Amino acid sequence: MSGPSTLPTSQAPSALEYGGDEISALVLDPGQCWTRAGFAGEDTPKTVIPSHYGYVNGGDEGKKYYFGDNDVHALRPGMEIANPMADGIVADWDVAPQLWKYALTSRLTTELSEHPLLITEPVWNTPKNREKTAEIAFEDFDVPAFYLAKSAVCAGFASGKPTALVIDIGASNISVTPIHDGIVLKKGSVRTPLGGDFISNQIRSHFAANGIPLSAHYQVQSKMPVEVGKPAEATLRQFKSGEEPTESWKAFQEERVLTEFKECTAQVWAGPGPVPAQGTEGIGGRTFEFPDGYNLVFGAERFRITEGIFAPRQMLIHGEIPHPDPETTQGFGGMVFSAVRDVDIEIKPHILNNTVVTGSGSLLYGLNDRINNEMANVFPGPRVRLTASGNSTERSYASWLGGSILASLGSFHQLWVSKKEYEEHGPGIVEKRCK
Amino acid sequence: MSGFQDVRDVMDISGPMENIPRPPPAKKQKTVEKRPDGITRELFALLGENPPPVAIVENKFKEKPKWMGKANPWVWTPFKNPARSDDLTLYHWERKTESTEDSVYAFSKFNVSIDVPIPSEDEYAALRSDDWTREETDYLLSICRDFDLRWSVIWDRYDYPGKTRKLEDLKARYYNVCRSLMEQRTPVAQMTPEELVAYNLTNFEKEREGTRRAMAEKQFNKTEEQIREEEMLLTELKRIVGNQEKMFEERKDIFQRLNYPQSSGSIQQYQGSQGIAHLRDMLLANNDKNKKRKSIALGPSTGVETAQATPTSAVSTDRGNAPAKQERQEKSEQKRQVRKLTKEEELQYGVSQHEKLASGVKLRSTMNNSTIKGATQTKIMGALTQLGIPPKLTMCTVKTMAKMLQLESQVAVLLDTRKAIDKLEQEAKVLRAQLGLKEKEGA
Repeated sequence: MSGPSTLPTSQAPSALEYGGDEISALVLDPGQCWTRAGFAGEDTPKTVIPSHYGYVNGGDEGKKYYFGDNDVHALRPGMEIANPMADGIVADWDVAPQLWKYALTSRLTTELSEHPLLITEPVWNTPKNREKTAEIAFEDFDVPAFYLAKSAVCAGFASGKPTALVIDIGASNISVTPIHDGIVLKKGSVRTPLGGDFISNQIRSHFAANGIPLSAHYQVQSKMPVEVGKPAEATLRQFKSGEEPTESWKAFQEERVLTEFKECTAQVWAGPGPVPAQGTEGIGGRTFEFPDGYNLVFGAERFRITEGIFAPRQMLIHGEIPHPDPETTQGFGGMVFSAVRDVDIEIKPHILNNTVVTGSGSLLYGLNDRINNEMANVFPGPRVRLTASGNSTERSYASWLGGSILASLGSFHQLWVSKKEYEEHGPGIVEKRCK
Repeated sequence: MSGFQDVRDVMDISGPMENIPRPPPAKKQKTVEKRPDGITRELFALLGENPPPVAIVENKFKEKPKWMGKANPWVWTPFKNPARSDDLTLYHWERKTESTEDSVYAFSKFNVSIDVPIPSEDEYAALRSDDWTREETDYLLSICRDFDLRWSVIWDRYDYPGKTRKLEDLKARYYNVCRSLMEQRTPVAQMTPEELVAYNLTNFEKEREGTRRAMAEKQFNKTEEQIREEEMLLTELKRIVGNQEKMFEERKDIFQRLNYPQSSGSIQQYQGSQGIAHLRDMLLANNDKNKKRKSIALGPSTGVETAQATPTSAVSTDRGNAPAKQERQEKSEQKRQVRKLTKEEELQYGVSQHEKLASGVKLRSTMNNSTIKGATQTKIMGALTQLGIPPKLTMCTVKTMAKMLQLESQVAVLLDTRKAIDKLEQEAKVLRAQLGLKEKEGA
């Protein structure tokens, strides 16, 4: 998005050349981990908040909810953390609208009734959920027009590809979606629960199996530098009784450390050959320092925790830590194969040539190389070309960005479901109009 | 500096010089003297009268742009999209202009849809099929309309209870319906050319489409070994074709060199020791050219050998009849090279063959080819002068020379005949005189 702009800001681009016509629409991209909102036509969402929310059970007034980065991470006695999303789609319809309203009104606008709203949804969203979304938009938010776009299609648009094979590596799922002319091909849409949350659990399993203590930032008052592998010398925070954080909040804080671990240490084995079993020989080591100062060098382990994506049978399993069934879960290669298998032969080569890799999970170090290798193994004949934005912001927010592009196009404005149409036909109209 | 006057001269302008203002030279001097920033006075003084061309960069702010007139404001304007059936009013920023009322929304022209026919109850009678119910046909047509005939999507979303259809089935049915409806609405004979084109386009061959798709699928699903084999075969083929071409090229080259023009001259002149020495000199003189040709001949010919010496699996099947082919080609090549000229052609090109030619250049008129010598010659000359023909031809060509020779020989024959007649007449006279004497004696 940092491309050179030759037009001065005072001059409007030629309307038909640019194709845009901004009507100040809002775009909301609710994901499993993050909820993104912003104005259509912009290149990054203005509001990015965690999909997780905090709540405190307070006697008569009912629950008190906390949304947004600051409130969710604040240490409040008795505040539980929960997520209204499950498996990438809305599971808790009491909280999700509040979360969305917070995302839209906290910074963007106070009058939702003045802005058309585009919401993205995953391909596997249920018809009931879609109707409910329309209901929320028109009745709770009172928007003048609404549209429900598929996030995979939007991710394709963000890369400028209306026909593509979109590989979206999100928090809850890895989904592979063939799209043709901006329409999702349902038969070829597959997903597997091996996303970012799965990697987090793999890391937890690895730590638990090897007795590596996982600390979080909130616990540490002060710390001393220690040698690699030596026990931490840190003063931990003491909580008065009744002011201790809840278990869910603690887990949420640990998750942040795991995210850091995923960003700096975890790596995908790009091949050739199998993942090295042990040690640091030939692959080097990477040091990771936990919040309490305890630090370790990770060698082959850093590849082992991500290998489950490609070979579910090799996933790490330890105790109570949740994991998908290693026998029945489809690995990455198999998933891409079955996605392409169920697509019309005419467009198979075309979509493979336009493979879009997106989602924050795709930022795992070395993942693109591995995907390239896997795809070449699965499809030796046709040419496979990956498109993955080099800009990590764009990669994380691709579906929002595509929605932003879509909702700012002049030719899109005939597709909005207007309030009048909703009142005439009821929520069923989204099934008919947003295919 | 007389540049000014030069220009006047070049432009051929004459006139009083007094009226033309001349730039005062003193002023110019001053501007040159101006010391640029960043050079000390002492250093600048060293440069003398002709300072070197130093680029002087002045740090100045960009000039304030001069706006023409007042800025045109942008207005938050409501608009309606004619592509929509409802009256949804959306707002966008628009340049303030005089007539915003009657302008049509620019993007509504992109609202195009495909015309999918809807069969009426009567028309459907002709479309009845065991496989397709009326409801399913209607469903197919509606889904075709929904997805604007994007067949990949139509097949993907086709979800009629109790039926799984192949893409070519859907296509066949759709085009069948279209074809039948077109026929029913306008008989084929009455169709306009455009309609006829559209009608012919609906001629869908399901079997062929099925085969094509199956082949495409096969091509797509090639395994790694198949791809490698295919690649190998392709490179092999390329190599074979390349080799063959190279070989033909070289062979042609060799044949050309083998086909020297056949000499018809005798070798008598080279038979003596002196002749041989002369021949050697001639060859040596031509050596440069020969050398070059030889080096060319040597290079590729070895290439041919190596190419033939590395047989490949694919070429081996073709090897049996390869030499035969080669021979045939050789013969035809030779035939082409030594074409026999016909008589007419020889005449046309002035080609003539001689038993023996003396060395050196001669004029044809000086060549004396006649076989008649001595007294007869002079007699013939006399006869020719009598006839008014000069003894030497003014225009000596092969033809005239031949005619001349012919004439001379004929004249010679005639002269011989006359001589013989004279002789016989003389004898007859003598005999007659003797006879007369004898009769007198006898009488």
